[in-house]
Amino acid sequence: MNQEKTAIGPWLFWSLITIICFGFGYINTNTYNVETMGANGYWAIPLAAVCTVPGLIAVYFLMKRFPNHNVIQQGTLIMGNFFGRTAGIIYLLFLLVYFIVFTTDVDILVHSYLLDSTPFYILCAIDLIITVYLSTRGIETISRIASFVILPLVTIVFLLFSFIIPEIRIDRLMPIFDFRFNFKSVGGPSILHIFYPMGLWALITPYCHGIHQKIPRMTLLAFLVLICLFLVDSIVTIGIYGHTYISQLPYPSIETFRTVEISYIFIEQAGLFGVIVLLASTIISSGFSLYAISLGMSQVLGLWDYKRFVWILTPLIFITNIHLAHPGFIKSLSHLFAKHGWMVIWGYPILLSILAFIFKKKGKTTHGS
Amino acid sequence: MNVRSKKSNELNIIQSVIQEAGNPADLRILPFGRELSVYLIYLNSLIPLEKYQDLIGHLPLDRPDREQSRLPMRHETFQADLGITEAVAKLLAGHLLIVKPGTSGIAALDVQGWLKRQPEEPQTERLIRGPREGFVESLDDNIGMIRRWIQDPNLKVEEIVLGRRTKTRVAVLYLDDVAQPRLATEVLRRLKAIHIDGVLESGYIEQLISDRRTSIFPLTQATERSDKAASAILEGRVVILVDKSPSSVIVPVTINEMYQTPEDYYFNFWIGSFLRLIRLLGNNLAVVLPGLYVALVAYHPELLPTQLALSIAGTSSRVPLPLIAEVLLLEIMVEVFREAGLRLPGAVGQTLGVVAGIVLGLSAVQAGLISPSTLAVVSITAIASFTGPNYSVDISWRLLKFIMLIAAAILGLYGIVLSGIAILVHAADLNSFGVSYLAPWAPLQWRTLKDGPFRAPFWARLYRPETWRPQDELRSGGTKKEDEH
Amino acid sequence: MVHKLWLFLALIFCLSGCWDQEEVSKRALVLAMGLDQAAEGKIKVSLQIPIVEELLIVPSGAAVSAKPFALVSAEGSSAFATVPGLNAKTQTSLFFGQIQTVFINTELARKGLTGPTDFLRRHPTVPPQAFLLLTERPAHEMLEVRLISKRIPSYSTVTFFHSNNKKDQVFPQRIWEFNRNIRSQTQDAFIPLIEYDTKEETFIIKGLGVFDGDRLAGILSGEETRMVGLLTGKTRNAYLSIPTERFGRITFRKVTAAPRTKIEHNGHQLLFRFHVNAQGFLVESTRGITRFTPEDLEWIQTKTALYLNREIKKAVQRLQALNSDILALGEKYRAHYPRKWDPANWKLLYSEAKIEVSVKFTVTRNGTML
Repeated sequence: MNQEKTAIGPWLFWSLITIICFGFGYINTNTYNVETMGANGYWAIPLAAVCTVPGLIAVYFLMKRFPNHNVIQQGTLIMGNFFGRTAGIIYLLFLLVYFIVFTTDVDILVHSYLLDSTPFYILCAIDLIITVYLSTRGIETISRIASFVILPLVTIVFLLFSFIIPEIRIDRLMPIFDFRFNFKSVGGPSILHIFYPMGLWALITPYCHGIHQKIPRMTLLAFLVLICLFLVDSIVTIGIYGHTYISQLPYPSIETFRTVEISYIFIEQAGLFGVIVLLASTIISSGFSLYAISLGMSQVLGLWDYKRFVWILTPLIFITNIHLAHPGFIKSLSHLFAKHGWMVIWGYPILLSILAFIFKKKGKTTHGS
Repeated sequence: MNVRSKKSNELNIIQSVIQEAGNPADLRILPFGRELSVYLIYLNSLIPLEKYQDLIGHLPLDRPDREQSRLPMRHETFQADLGITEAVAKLLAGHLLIVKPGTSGIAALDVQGWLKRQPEEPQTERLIRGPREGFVESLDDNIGMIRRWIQDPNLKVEEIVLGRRTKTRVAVLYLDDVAQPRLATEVLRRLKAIHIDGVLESGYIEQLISDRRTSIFPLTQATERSDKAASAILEGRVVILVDKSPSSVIVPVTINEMYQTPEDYYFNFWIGSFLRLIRLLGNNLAVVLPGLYVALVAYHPELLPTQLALSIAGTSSRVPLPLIAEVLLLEIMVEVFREAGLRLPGAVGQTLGVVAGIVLGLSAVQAGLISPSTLAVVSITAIASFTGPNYSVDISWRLLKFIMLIAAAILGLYGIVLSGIAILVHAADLNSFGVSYLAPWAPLQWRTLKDGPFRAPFWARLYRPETWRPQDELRSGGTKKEDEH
Repeated sequence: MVHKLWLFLALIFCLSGCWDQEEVSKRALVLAMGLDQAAEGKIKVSLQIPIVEELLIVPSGAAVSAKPFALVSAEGSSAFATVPGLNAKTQTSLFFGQIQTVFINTELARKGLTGPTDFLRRHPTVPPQAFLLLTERPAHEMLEVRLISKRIPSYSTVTFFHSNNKKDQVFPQRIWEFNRNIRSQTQDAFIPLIEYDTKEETFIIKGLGVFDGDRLAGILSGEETRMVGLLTGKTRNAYLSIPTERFGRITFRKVTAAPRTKIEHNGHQLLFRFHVNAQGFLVESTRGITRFTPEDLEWIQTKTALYLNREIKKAVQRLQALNSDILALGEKYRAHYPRKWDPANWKLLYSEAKIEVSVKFTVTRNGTML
């Protein structure tokens, strides 16, 4: 009892996947949704949830079959050492680049809205320091932080959105059931990106031993909360700005928050406080992502442990951050990942689960990392 | 053996004891009994035996036992046939040594002879409502106080001796059928692993058994209140009492306990919850307010209401110091005054508080050294920091305040967020005897949250906090509903 | 080793230099801004900056300057290009985060505001909730006026929008709403028109400037503005006064309306149907008539409904003539006819649409007389 147990409980699991999806998703979700579905962009959220289910089922299936291994180790067990490692490296590199693009986008947000005179590399460095500090603490600490922050975060976000509701014009959200998917343009599958971070769960499945039975319930609860959060975000943003104006905004949700005005009490521009709250979720998401990627790297290369890899990746991430720091470039990269990322994030677990089923592969009872 | 050789045998023993004890000036040797054949050896500073003159006559030297002796005694009252070294150890611990004719060993009789303070309410844990009883420096008295609260045979009292030179007695108390068995075992294991010259206060024990000794957060809870210690035992926690220290140590602890007082339970749950929320607000204000002030005024004035921004701008335009220097200077001066006030005699300390707070503050504002808004913020912070019921937590919060202040001075609101997260990460990484420090928030324990920021009424508190993983989860007795379970 | 690494990293944190730190007393807080058309196609930007020391009540009772704010102006080829010139005139750096109002001259507004107001939406510190006001006088003059009650003029312009009693004639347009509307294909912007009465030394809301795209199309009078307000349902405390033969002039207060708008497309023409359920408190009859019978009230209600019907129709037709869709009928059309919606076609359909108005008015209260 008195030694640290490397496992997470059901509530910690729920907090983790909810907060990382929210942290990753709030920045660009409205942009992609309206580009794909116009004024019905809010429908993209339940649609994305439904499309995410097969990938999650694949991860769950693999977890049950290989309870002590994560997706990287499962790859080597199913596809053999060479192909498994190669596929694992590609998978992790994809996640790493996605992570770098995301963190650069957030740093640009901070630079634009909060600290425009501070040199960009300083912001990157400091953000990375805190992210690295969090990620080196391990899954239990990260999930505890997520658990601590999630309830106040959800409350504040809902409260802030409720202040903007009087500004909504229902006509901007209509027609409600006029589905015209715009897959030909830059939108398309990019609506699925909201739930991509759930795929990171595949890297920490060994720490979910003991809660396998509760995972479907907790995942459903996470879906419900995330759908509510993003739906409210989408409905409010489209309701006040209209779908054509949103495409001109780099961070539509942030702009929505900035319109909040609570007159004649201490806070005049409540929106910036909302920005701070969202940034907190972003840092936790970054910390977890870096932890998961480092863990995978150490496993796929068979070297050291995740802490060393966090330190190895840090300078690489920092240098890439400062060189990618052009807003237009980052947005288009982000869009590219959003549009095609599902192929890797969900495609890889689905492929592994199919192969495991066909070749009847099952896990051994050796310990994971 | 003739009389002379018997006598010389006893004298040899006495000589050996004197030599082994280092011939202290307060050593007394009292011939006693018929024919003055029995010798009592004691240290006058520990046992003023003159006070017990009339009782000495009743000292049952033939069969001294608890029923017959009228002197105050403990359960290890009498030990016979001790060697020289053991006897000297007992002598130094305040025992009365008895050298009887016809025996080669020495007997030791425990009498409580040293000076003791009367129990009084602890200075730093005052309550409006509640018992005015706090621990004293006597371990036995303290154990006695706990026993008066918990009259349960399952209350275990385990004792060890720590400190090579001080030989300080340390007692570990817990309820055998409630506390996690491995918790008590772990506590004893950590205590026994302590190898130190001397233990002068329970603070030594706190730091030496703490899970993370470099953490700014206290991972054990210290209290001088006996009701608080008893309440902790009833929840399934372990209390450590240290001889000669009025402060007990309670383990494990979480951040949830750091803003709770016994008073929350002595009033009804509305008042208890309200008081707790005020304390939480006070704690948070004390940590965040100075940093928030600096961040808003120096980095994000757009967040201030216009009238306030103009007012602050106007009043601080004449101040020569930069804002961060002003705030840091004031905060440091407040800490200096606080510390100085502690050392001064009562009336002077109070006067100093008034002089420092009112006179100096106003003079500094009028002289243009500081701005009134900064003075107001720092004053609110200082007063809010006193809402914490736990002194060690208060000090931790005060240190955190400086961290957040510096972070705000460097990066504004973003700095506050980053430093807040860094502090949270550190707190989330902490365990206190296997219990997450952020429990019941992380991991979320819904049942225990009833005793979190709000205090649920007694009829809703059927279960002990699951944070401590008690064996007996149900608090039974008191209401019909509980009895039906 | 790890602890030394953390210490090193913490030092980076501490040595980062506080680039963004600038105390509020070291900034020139801009409370109001004026945009004027200058010569040769340039734009003149004027800023109202309070002199904070003059705003304080000095304990010693020394006399305070009569002018607690400074006005700085500069001209440039674009609005934000004037900032270097403005900065050169202030001792401290300009800070736009406390802007309350932006005055825009109507001459500039007629030429199009997409360019002049672009920086208002791009600059991260400009509060998106700041109000916009149109003025026929030069905007910089409006920033200089003396008010009997307030020492900073921009404060009093803001209170117009926070007062419930002014909600029938003052419809705020914040920067974020304006920016959305001038770039929207389904709704046009409007900005209240404000003037200054030199004799009474006070601001007056004169009407509502309506836009077609980003250009000022025309000014609605006070009465027209009130009617438009009833159509939007935002009116909370309007006043209404109508002449009647039987009861003299009847005045109502606390007039509110719950409008319903329907759009119908019969193939080649649009039909806008406005149905307004309005109500108000009867507060004045210039003939001093009391003891209104139910028939009297019915008559008053019908008369008032007819009056409103006529006036509302006139107001909407005025908007059509100005080609300004401030009622967001385009949004409604898009919502109900998504397949027929064509932004290129909308303004033509709008200007040629038929209008039908039906009003039902209810007298809720008679006041303290029967």
